[in-house]
Amino acid sequence: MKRFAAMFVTLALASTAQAKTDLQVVWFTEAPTEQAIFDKYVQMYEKANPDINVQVTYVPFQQLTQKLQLMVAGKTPPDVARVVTANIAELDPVALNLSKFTDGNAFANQFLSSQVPYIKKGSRVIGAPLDVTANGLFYNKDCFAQAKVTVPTNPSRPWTWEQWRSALDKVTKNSKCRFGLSFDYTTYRFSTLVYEAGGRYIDPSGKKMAIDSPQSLRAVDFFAGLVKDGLIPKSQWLSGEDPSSLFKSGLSAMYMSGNWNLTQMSQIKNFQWGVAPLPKDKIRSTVPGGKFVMGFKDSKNTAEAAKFIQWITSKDINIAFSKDNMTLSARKDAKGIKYGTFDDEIAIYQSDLGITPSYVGKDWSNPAMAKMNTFIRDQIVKVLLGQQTSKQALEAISAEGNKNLK
Amino acid sequence: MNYRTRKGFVPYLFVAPNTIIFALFVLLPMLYGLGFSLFDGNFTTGLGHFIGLGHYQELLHDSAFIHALLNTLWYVGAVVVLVVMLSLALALMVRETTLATSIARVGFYLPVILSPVVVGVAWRWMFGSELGIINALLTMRGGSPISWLTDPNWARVLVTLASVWSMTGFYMVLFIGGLNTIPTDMYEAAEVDGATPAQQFWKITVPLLVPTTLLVTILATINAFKAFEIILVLTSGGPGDSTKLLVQNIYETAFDKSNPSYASAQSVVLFIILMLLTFVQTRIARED
Repeated sequence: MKRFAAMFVTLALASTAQAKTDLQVVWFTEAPTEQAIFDKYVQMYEKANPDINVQVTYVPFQQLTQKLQLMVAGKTPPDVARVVTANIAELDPVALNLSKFTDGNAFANQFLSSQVPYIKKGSRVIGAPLDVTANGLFYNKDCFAQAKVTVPTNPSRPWTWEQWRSALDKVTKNSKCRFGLSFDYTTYRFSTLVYEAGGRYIDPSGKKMAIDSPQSLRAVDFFAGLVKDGLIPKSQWLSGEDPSSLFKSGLSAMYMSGNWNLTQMSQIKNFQWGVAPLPKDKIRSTVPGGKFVMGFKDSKNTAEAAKFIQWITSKDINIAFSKDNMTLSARKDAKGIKYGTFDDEIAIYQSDLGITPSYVGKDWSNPAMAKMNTFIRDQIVKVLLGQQTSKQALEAISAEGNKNLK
Repeated sequence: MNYRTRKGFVPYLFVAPNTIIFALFVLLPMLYGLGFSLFDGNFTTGLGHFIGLGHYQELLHDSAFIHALLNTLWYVGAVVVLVVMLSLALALMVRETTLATSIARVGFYLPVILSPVVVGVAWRWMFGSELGIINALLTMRGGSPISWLTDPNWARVLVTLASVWSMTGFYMVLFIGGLNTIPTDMYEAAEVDGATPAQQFWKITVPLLVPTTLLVTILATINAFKAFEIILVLTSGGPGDSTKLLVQNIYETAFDKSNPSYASAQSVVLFIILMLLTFVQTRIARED
């Protein structure tokens, strides 16, 4: 009898253990530190929700899109995924509508207005911003000091493009830095120039491209000029040389990247570095992007997924998470928080974000743009190789974009 | 079941595991890919609408696809010719088994066991325009750096050489096997008759190596058509799209441009090309 009772208790306990819900999370990482930080928050969540077992699959950023595309196509989407702007636009049709679990408008309005176009699709809310990103310029203080070139520190008085170019030229000639500017091989980073010149990709109606303009032409010509004159190493856009390693090794005076690299830059020991405000042309602008968390309508645990998304983007948790990762929280009520380190650098990113026109975010939240990244980059490369003119590149981007917008 | 029936059934049991695995993991996905190429679906919508041969018609006007196809034909031609010639030359050099040739065989075979990613990274370290060792040495000796990976022509040459380097050792082993099947008394008889080494090579070695040469050509052609990793790491298909081959174009169409059904149509075209080439090569061998 006792044996039966013991078996019964064991089985009952086992079934209770099995009753825990497994929440499948796909989390991409860009820096080695990110995994340990997220693990800490997973443990906090599991402690607060003993009935949930969070199972995290970490993937490098480069594999994220493919991983999610295949999981969605195979009808086995995760419950929650950390994604970037291009993903959330593409995965819109299969996204979990968070309005069903929250007061949609109130939930979306907690976040900065630049991030709302990415998550709000009519009455649906398809995700939540985890942080906001901004393109920006890192610079090697030692090289600029050696070349006796002063870098502006006041975001409201940045260099003009001409001053920027001249500074790059001087620092290359008069310091140990062999190259002026490392430039990430991405359409996002290049697009900073398009917006600064006063151009844009999609017209206000959202139905046709507006990239084929004199402003955009100036941006392409300016960028091509920097590459042609050797201020940007050709190999970064023509053969995939890693721009960040050229900057981190002290060979490049500046690096066009973004705030997400702050933690990586903090590892640099061989020179002093800083963040410069983005130079202006017709206007000041950056390209706001961000990381988001989203659920999938066909996943097994939609209610639990919605609960986790609300938790990780709630005020206290999100601010702590942002401080740990040195990222900019996308919550409105996180404005002005102090990080303790890199506060001056973060203030520059925030200033650039604050001045960026709202149509920039609108451009990049359009699903048509998600399909255009590689195409746009390829057209710019053809200009650099002399295979087409800047005007022809813009015409090609415009034609492809109009096809996608239809 | 009588003995004869059972006996007739047994061979099928032996091939069953491989047939099932082949059907499940090769044949079925292939058929699905063929079917998918007739629809306009993507990852989020599933199959989508039936468009028949729409994607195939689009391919005829797709400059990116045509460019990748031409790049692939150029690359395959160069790689196969070089691989066949070099692997045969190496096999002839190390066919006798001595300590020196054994060490040499290991050395020549070593690149084969390296991951293609490692090969790509190693060549990149050597030929990188800014951080490459070769350019650093050239600059140290007062020379000018060469745009190895940023000039389309140099990039094509390097991609070809890296691929040839990584696969020649494998085909060398096949040629050594082929050479060992040629009876030595044929060479002895030719020598007695006064044949020079060159005559022996052209009149004995080459004709008797035709089956091995054909095998090497077919395998090298198929592998060259499927080349992806080395090129992706070494040049990412660049500069521009000068080293972008069909497989990379298919990958980018599917995952970067989120158009898997169109990518499936490209895969079907690649499959047909490979089938045709293999068919032609085996026909030539049969006629020989």
